[in-house]
Parts: sequence; C-alpha cells; structure tokens
Amino acid sequence: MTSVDPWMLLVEDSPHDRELALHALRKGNLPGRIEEARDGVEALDLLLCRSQWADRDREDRPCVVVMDIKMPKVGGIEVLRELKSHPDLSDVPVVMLTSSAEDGDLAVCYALGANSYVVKPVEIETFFQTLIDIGRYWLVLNRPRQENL
Amino acid sequence: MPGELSTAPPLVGHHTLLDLLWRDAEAAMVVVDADLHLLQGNPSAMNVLERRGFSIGDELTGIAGQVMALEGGHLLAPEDRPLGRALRGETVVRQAVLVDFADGGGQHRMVLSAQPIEISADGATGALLIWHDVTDSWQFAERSRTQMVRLGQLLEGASDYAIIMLDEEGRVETWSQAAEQLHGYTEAEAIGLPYARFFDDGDRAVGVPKKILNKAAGRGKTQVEGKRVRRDGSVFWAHAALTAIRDESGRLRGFVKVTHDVSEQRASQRAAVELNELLEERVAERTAQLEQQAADLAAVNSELEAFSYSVSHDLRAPLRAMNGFARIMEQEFGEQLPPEALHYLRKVTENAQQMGSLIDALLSFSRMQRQSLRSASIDMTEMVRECWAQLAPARAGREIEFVLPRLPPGMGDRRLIQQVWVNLLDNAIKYTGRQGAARVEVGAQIQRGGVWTDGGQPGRPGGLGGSTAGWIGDWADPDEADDIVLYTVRDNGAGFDMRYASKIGQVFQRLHHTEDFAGTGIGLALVQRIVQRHGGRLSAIGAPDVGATFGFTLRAAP
Repeated sequence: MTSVDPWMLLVEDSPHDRELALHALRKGNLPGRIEEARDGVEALDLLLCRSQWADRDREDRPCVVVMDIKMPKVGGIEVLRELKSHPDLSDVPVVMLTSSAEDGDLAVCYALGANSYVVKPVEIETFFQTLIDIGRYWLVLNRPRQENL
Repeated sequence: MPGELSTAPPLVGHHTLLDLLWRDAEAAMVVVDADLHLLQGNPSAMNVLERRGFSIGDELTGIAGQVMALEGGHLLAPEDRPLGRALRGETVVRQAVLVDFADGGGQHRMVLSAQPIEISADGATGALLIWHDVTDSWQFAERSRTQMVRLGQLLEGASDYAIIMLDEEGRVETWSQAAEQLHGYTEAEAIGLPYARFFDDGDRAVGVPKKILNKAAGRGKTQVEGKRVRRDGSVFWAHAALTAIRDESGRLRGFVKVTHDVSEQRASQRAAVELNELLEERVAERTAQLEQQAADLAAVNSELEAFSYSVSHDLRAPLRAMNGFARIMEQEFGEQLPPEALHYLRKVTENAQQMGSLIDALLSFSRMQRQSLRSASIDMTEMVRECWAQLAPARAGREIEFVLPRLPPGMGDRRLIQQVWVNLLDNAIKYTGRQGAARVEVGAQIQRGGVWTDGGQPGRPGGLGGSTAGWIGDWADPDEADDIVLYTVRDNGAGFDMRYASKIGQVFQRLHHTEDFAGTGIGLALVQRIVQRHGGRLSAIGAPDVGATFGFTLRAAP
C-alpha cells in the first residue's frame, strides 16, 4: 500500500470561505492535507493532471472533493458531471457544499451522482463544525476504493 | 201593340228555331190567357211549376208569396208584377226582383220579362212570361266580390308591404297605398311604369331588373334584396318577393311583387357587423397585450428567481466572512482584547447573524411563492404536536402552558402548512417571553353553510372575539359549497395595537422593536402568503399586554 497522505480537494471561489474552511479543518486536527482550487477549471485541471498540475501523480486521488456550486468560469455542477462521467474519477466522493438550498440544485446534484449535499450553515460555529465533520468523515472514517487491490 | 205580335207564335206545331229555343232554353217561359190560366210552359218552366203542384190549365195565382222589385226595393202587388202588367198590355224587360216562394227556400233573385201575346186566331190575348233564376250565380259573384274587397283591404292594410302586380312585360298593373308610400308614385303615375324604373342607373345598366323578372318567371318565385330608387330620387334598401302568375295553359300573365323597406334592419345589421369587427379588433389587441404581459411576467419571474439565487449566494458569502473572521478574532485573540473591543466585536457578530436570518427568511419567502401546491388532507392535531416539539429549542428554559384540543383535519400542502404552524407557534412563544405564566392555546372552528360552529354550538368565530375586524388581506373566497375550518393560535403575550393590524402580513413590517423581540418581519408575511395561496385568510386580533390571537382558514378535509 502506497503511503500517500489522505487529502481533500476544496473547490471554492471565495477566498474568505476557503480561509475559514482551512481554519476550521486546522482546528479539527484532521490528518492529511488540503488542496485548493479557485473554480471549476482549476479543479478539473488538478484532478486530470493538466496545465500547472501536468506532472502530478495520477494515482494520487483525493479522499473527497468538497465543492461549491456557484463559481465563475465552470460551475460546481459542470465539474460534478465531468468527474462522475470520467472512468478514473467517477468513484471519487464529491460533497456539494453550497449556500443554495434550492430543490432544483439538490435534485440535479444527486442525479449526477453527488455523494452528499450540505447547505452551508448560517451560524458560523455550526459552519466550522460542519467542515470538521465532513473532513473527519471522509478523511478518517470513510475507506476509499483501493486502486491496487 | 198588335203589330208587334205578328212574329211566329209558339203554338205552331212544326220544328222551327223557336221550337228548339222553347224546348232547350234555360230560361223558364210560360204563356197564360187573360185569366192567368196556364196555356203552355217550356220544360224549364214546367220543371218548376209541377214541383209546386201546377199543371197546364191551372190558374197561375199564388205561386210567389212576395215579390220585391230590386230597383226601389218595394213589394209588388200581383197586378203590378210583370205578368199582371203584360196582361194590361205592357212589355216588361228584364226586371230584377226578389221572390219569396214562402216555402222556406229563402229568397230567389230573378230576372223577369213579360209581354202581351196573341193566343188564338180569334184575337184573344194573353201574356208570355220569361223568368231566370240567377240566385246561384249572383251568390257566387257576391262571394267573389266580398273576397276581393277583403283582399283589397288586406293589401292596403299591410302598410309596410307594398303588394303590387306587374304584367308579363313587367309593367305596373295594380298599385296600392303602401306602394305609394314606399315608392312615392301615385296610382295614376305608377300604372304602366316599367319595373326597371324602381332601380338606379347602375343596376339598370347591367340589367338587374330584367334578370330578377327572368328568374321569377323561370323558377316561379324569387327573393331579392337591394337598392331601390323612389320617385324623388332618394334610395332605400328593399327586400322583394316576386311570384310569377301563369294561366291554366301555363302562359305567363304577370307577377305579384311584395316589397318591404329593410333600410333600418340593414343599417342595424351593418352596425352590428361593424361593432363585431371593432370588438374582434379590440380582443385581438387585448390578447396581444396580455400575451406580452404574460411574457413580461415570466421574464420578471425568472429574473426574480435568478435574483433570489444570487442573493442566497452572494449576499451570504460576505456575511459568513464577517461572522467567521470576527469569531476567529474573538476566539484566538479574545484574551488580548480590552473588554470594550470585545463588546463591539460581538455587536458586529450579532448584526451579521441578524442579517443572515433576514436573508434566510427572504429566501424561504421567495421559494414559497414559486413552489407549487400539493393539497392533501392533513391531520392537524398531529401536525401541531410535531411543530410544537420542533420548537423545543425556542422554548428552552421556559415554562409555557400549551393547550391543544383535537383539531378537525384540513386541506393543504403539508410542507407549507407546517411552516404556517411553526411561524404562528414560534411567534406565540416569542411574544409570551416576558409573561410570568405564559399560555399558548390552539383551537379550531368549522364553518358550515356560512355558520361557525364550535363543538356543535353555532355562532361566530369566537376565537376572533366575534368581530369581523382583524381579517388581513383579500378573501380569495373558497368554494361556497366547501366547509371551512378556522384554526387559531391564542397567546397571553405582548399583543399588539389593533391600529397597526393592517401592517401584519407585510414583508419587513414589525410591530415590536428588535431589542424587545427579535425577528425579521418575514414570518407573518410568509404565513399570510401561504394561507392566501390556499384560498384562505389570515386574521389577527390583539390588545397590548393582553395577548394576540392569530387565525387562518383552510378548506375542511372531506
């Protein structure tokens, strides 16, 4: 078994939200690292090892992608569609983390194969705790599919 | 006048022209002597006389009971009747009389002629009487005459219809009062005028009159409508029916023409057509407007949707940042901050929280507006119990007396009605917050056929204090045939001043200061819209420091 660090890909266009999320995860003393993408284009480039991530190890896949929906350039729903239809990446868990509690978004995300849908809590302590919970579940508790098994 | 008697007497025994006339004439002829003895009678006469018991040789007296001269109308004594006069030497030619035979057969109209006649070689004279009973033909003629008079009266009486006759060439043959009124020609002027005279130059030029007559002659009858010209040149719109008249051999004898002035009808018909066209035009315009409005509305709606979507995301993101960083600052550096700085930091956090709640409330409000209704029967007792339980966090540390009787089921969208209850109960909990012995009481009344009943007791909506005041917004009247349930939530909290009741249900309107009772001003607006969308109505009755009763109506579940 390759001893690769467990890691999370955080796809979020708001630098503030990214900073708050990183703060929360740091506070939660979670193992592994957190990679950031500022929009859908970056997320896809990173996951598919393109552009600035061209020499990244293809085998090193994230334990979870935590992704906003509304982002500039390529939105979360488009990234989700691409990921879930890609043979190598379709089983990477994707958690939609969004301000949108719209029924329509919820339905579309699940139809495209999202593994979870979390509405960003308004109350800030709950928001922090939610991120810690997500990190703990997908980085610590959840066992991903083993590539070389 | 013996000289006149020299023509061949009827007594000559061989067949002559006179014999034939005597034998076959329809007129009755008798010859009598000076003493009225019947010497001879022709078959026509004997036919009558024998029926009355007379035969040759009898004295012809008392046959006719009464004889009246038609000219003058007086009764004639026997000696003044034609036969009497002839015996006195007079000649009577065709005297018209009425004869009553006194046999119940009624009066006979007769034409009598009589003259003296030589009856023997010895110069004895008698008289020849010829009579002709014209009763039947007279009656027939009389009936025809009466009918003609009546028909004439009828035609004249039909003043709106000019009924005239044309000859086979189309020339006016008969005229009428109505025709004079319609066409402007007197009878004297009209007789002999060609049918074409009643048409204008244009119609004449293309032979319209001739075509009409030909059509009537060909088909037996025809109906036409068109312009006609009066004597003074004025024009009217006529409807005419022409019927061809043919004799027994089928030869065309002329036409009966019935003409009616339909100018007014035509004018009103045209007006109706024009009005219709105008209306259709208007409807088309209005439809186009409405379609445009519907399209505009759809555009506005989708804009609103996009707007609320970006509100949810873009407005909340900076808020989260404010909240988040303030919290981090408080947690990580709180110990290094002076108490006053911490106080202000908390103010920032509180305000950000309040704004977050406002955005949330607005979002759920706009979501509700767009959400479609799925109406079903709801067990209200169970739903209220759940909502009350769900509000446990709001009740934390409070002791509230909660009264929940069995409620009748109502028709509504589960998710939305649940929101109504949560909002109303949350309000009741909130506004009793300063009350020592807080009490929240849920109730319901059913309205059947316009009468409110509460536990079988008919009456007014008691939960609303029997007042019609306090209803908010417009009735979206549910079907009259349906029973209506009024659900109420009564509390003994801060209440409100009824003067401001009209502000309840408006977005962002609050009747209390935020420092007294926290709130967004959205809750009741949301309730109001949900109830309205269900065709129900929201009501509010309150008094400051006494309490408030909020009610909403729904269709009762069948």
